Order: sequence, then C-alpha cells, then structure tokens
Amino acid sequence: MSIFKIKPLLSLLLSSLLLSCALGHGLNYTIAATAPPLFAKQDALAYTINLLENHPEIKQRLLEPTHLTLGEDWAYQSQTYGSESTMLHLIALQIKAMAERNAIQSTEDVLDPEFGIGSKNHKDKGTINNPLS
Amino acid sequence: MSFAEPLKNDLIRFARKQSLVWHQQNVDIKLKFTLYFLRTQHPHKTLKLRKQLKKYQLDLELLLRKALSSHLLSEFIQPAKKSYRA
Repeated sequence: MSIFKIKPLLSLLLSSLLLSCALGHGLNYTIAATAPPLFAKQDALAYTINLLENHPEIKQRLLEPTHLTLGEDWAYQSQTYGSESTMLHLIALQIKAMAERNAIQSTEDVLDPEFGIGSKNHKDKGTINNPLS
Repeated sequence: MSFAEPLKNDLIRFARKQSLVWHQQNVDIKLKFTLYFLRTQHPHKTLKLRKQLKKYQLDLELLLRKALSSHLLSEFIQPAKKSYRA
C-alpha cells in the first residue's frame, strides 16, 4: 500500500482515537441547540476534524512553525500548536463557545481570512472571529 | 488596551504547547500550572499585571480561572465586550 493511501487512513484513525479519548474523559463538545442552525446540536470536535481535513493547508499552517501560505509572508512561528490533538481540542472548544454566543453563523466565519482560523488575528490573539480581542 | 496585553502571546503559546491530557485536567490544576508558569517564566510582567489589575480591584487568579473555563481568551482580555458579529 502506498504512502498516499496510508496517510488518510492514519489521519482517520487519529481522529477516531481522539474522539473516543475525549468521550472517555466525559468532555462535552456538543454545541447548544440555541446556536445558529449550522452548529446547533453538532459535535464541535467532529466539525473541526472534518473542517481541517477539508482544508489541509490551514492545518499545516497551524502545526508547522515556518509554513508559509501562498501569497502570505508570515507563519505561525512559535504560536503553532504543540500537537494535532491539542489543536483540534482547543479549536473545537472555541467554535463551540463562539457558536453558542451567536458570534459565528457559518463555516465562512470560522475561516474568515482576517479573523478566522489561520488568520494573523488567530495566530496572535488566540480567538476566532473576534476583532475586539 | 487590554489588561493582559503584555502576557497575552506568552499565555497563548503556553496553552497551545500543552498536551491534550493537560487540557483535559480540571480548571484548578490548570490554574496552578499556569500561575507557576507565569511566576517562573515571566515574574516581572506578572507583577506588573497584578499591580495594574489591583488598581481596578481585579484579581489575576479569578481572570485566569474565567479564561480557562470559558475557552475564550477574549473573555479574559475584554470581559465586557462581545464579538462584532454577535
């Protein structure tokens, strides 16, 4: 089996392990029913895993200190996450919190180039879609 | 300007570098580790922040606890404001 076939499988395995690990610790990633329709009653961790699987370039930027995105001249440097599991956990909890405050309505908000995941604001200020932070 | 500005990047970096197991601990344990990190790695900045907070009758431990519980650093930095899209 080639490396190209193994990589997605490993990624899926890691995601499943993380999900079961989180459930084992009784962590609640379920977004409240009062959140916007896209997020209401969703599992924030599953949403985050899926989101970053679909945007590998953002995932790479969050994990690799010197990774430069095309057309950008800055990287996350020392503000990268120490591990993929920590990254997924923290981003999932932020998405849950922001959705429950009705501060995000869509995936476009989460990936907003100025204030979303992978933006300079997120790198430096730690929050998603919050220019006041 | 936010109260925690001088320590904000250090706190974000500290949190992002911890393991998932660390994040899954209860808030009391994480608070102790965070305070230890501030005291040992950034004693001067921490002292300065404590003095600033005291002027407004705010407490560093309480603010850190709130930040660790809410998962939103902005709650710690700007407790009175909401997101612009809220």
